[in-house]
Amino acid sequence: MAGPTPVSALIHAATMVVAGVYLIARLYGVFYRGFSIAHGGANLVSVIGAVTLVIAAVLAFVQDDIKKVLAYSTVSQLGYMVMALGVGAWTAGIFHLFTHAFFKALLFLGAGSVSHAVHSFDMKKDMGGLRKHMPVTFWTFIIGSVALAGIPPLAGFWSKDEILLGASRNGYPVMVAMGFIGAFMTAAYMTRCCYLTFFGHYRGHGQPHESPPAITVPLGILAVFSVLAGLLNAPGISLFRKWTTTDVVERAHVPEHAFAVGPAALSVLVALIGIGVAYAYWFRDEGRPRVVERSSVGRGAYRFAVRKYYLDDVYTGGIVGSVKGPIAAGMYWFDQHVIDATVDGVATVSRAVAGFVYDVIDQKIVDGLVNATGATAEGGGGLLRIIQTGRVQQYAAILFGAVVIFAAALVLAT
Amino acid sequence: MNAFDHWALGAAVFLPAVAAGLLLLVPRAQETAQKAVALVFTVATTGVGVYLLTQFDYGNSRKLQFVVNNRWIDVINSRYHVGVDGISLPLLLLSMVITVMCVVYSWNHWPEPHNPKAFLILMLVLETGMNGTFLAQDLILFFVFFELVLLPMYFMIGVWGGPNRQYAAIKFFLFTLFGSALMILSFLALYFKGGQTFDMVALQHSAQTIAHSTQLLIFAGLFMGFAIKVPMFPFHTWLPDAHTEAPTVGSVFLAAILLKLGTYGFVRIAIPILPQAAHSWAPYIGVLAVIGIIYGALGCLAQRDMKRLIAFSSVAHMGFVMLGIATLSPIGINAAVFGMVAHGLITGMLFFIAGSVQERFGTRELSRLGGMLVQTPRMGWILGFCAMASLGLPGLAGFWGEFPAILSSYQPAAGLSLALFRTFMVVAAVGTVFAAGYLLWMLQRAAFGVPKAEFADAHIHDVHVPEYIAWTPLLVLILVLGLYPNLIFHMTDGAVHQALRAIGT
Repeated sequence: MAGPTPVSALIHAATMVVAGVYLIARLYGVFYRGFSIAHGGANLVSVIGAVTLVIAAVLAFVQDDIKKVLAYSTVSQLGYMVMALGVGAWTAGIFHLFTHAFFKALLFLGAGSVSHAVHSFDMKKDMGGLRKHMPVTFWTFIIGSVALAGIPPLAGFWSKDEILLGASRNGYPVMVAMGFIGAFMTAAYMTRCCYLTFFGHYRGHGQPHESPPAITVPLGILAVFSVLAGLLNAPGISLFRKWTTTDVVERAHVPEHAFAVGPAALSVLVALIGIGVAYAYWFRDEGRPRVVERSSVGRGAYRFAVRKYYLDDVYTGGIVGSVKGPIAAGMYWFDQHVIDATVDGVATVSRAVAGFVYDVIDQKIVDGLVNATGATAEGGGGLLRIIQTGRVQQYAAILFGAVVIFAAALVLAT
Repeated sequence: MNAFDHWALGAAVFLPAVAAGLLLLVPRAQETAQKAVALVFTVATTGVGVYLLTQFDYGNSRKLQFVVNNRWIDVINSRYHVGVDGISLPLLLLSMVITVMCVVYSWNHWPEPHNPKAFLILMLVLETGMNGTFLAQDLILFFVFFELVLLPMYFMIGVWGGPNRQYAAIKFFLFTLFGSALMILSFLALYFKGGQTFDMVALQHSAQTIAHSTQLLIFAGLFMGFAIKVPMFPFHTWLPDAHTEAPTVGSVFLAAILLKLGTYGFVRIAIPILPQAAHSWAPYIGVLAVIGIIYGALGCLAQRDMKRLIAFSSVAHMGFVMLGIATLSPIGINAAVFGMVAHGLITGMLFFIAGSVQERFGTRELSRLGGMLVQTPRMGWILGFCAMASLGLPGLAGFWGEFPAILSSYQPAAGLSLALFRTFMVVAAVGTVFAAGYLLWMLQRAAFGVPKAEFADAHIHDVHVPEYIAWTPLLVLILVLGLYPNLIFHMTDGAVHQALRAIGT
């Protein structure tokens, strides 16, 4: 979402984010049997979808950046799709994927068109009253918003209504309730978004004007699709179902329900109430302090939502931060100071042992023995040298004495 | 076999040695002549490799081909026995291609002290050792080439390396040699217990009769020799220092090929000759492998030096290779060999880029780098491409080293604990998330954003011509192998099955 607008319009509306929904739809046999979706009540898929739906819708209310509103709206609608698959409304789920692509891409490109004019994405600071300056963008954005809110005969109504119908017919009352809450909130936050961007007075400092045809023509094309695409699966036509149904789904006997006016009227009513409440809150109450400013509970709730339930703090700060920070550093410390210290320790011990072997054993003991033989020879020689006085009389005396001793020995021996 | 076939493997191993000999005769001042000789001979060696590639019988990749089996050292019954099969062939080609690229890369950029003659001679001797290791079929012959690579690498690191090169060089040399000492003990044990022969092919049959407890000990010796080279946790600590201190080309050789000698030894020697011992050891090898994956990744996250980060990433990637090997399954070992080739290409490229970054910016500190995509966009893009390849993005070569290894862990060889290996599978999959983490974080710090104030006004060159010539084949190979991995798999599969036939999957 932080990326360039066309990128957002493509991947965050229509293609990349729906990969997971597509995977579940593709492998639906596994999920349908594995989660016993036919039984009704609650299962992991539908619960996650419903919770996502509501949580993201709350977050969409507190965003000042128009693209962030649309991003959380996408998350919320994806919750719808997953919830649909979780309650057994298979065709409805992927049909919503299909229609959502059109009006969400339209809304993103519309946001891009607006930012092209005012050079900003901040609704509160730099937008307002743009409907006078940018009529094509304004009307296509309204069409997209109405489609998203689920007002017939635009695209969103047909897909969303089918989801709620499937949920109620397949025995998922809680999901039906959450779906209605989501529908209410979707209508409301889109009304807020449209109000802040296009109504009121212009709060920016530039000269906004309509975008060139390169931008407005795609908006127009997508607007046409947002109006008409829903009719592909309208009761009686049901082309989309015929095109997309797979034999996996048929063999699993995933039920398809016929269009019923009652629930459809109820969902439209909820959407209209959402628009009405938002209208009353923003359009009519402009200028007066809001409940999120007046009461401390309101302020606290607002802050909790703006901080995205502190989930980002947990994920980025807590998990990522601890892994790439203390845990990695600790592991590296262990590597350098324990493992490598052992390796270096082997070297140090080897050097110490080598030193001992050389200094003590080799030099002192072994070489000492070698030197001792030399010292002995030298010492013996030193002793013998004493006899070498140079005095001939002494040599004669010793010679005479030796002869006497040998003669005596010879005489005594024989 | 015609005459050229008979001499092909000899040429592959010894042409670089001939070139080294010739280079000794070239005067030190005539650098162009030196570079020309080196380039001609390394390209010729690669030509021999291409010849082998085209003449290789792919239907028979399990059989040794181009075999030469001559008398060598009769007194110990060691023969000059070389041959190439489906496992050796891709690694041999990797070695040849990387050597050529290193010669090209170094063309105008020699590390200090400037001595192209000596540096090239060492590179060529290194290539002889590497090629010989991949082709040897006799344990003593293998040992000679396996050890031969240590000496040029020691000098490369010790003379041309970074500030701490003395310590790094001697640590690398002694640590690896220690493992090799235990390995040669195992080789001798195999000789005496396996019928007085050093021949790898013969030992695959005769070593079956060795008692299991003895086999375990022999495998332990082989394990030490190869595990230190791979490197496996906890014997890996020589690698960060050696990689960081080595000159660029030295790091490339080390990462791209020398690490593969260890894993190749497992696949070529340890597993085929001692399958029962391999089976008993496999769980422990697996444990160390997955520890290596996570440990290497965490080590990467703690690094501030780009080259040291890439060095730790090698530990992590070789963990994937060893996990594939530990499963003792065909998918696993195919994945391991592919992973060896892929890692060689990718991490070789990463080290090349790290060297180029250092040369331009004078630093590898990630905190001082930044904005490469602004200042040197082409190098920034290539770094991004290689980072994506390294983290295992499908469509690039790295994916086929990681994913089949994880897949193989789901179904290891018969008799190995399913619960244990499936736990490895989960841990390894988490490891891929860490891989993405550290590589993208490195990319973000080095390439994104705006250049730091220190280098903002400096005139930093983008990629030079020699770098383009050296890098393009590698980048193309990374992409081609990523899109069509069967180019490697159809070489290796037969030989992998042959190596595992005694495991009985």
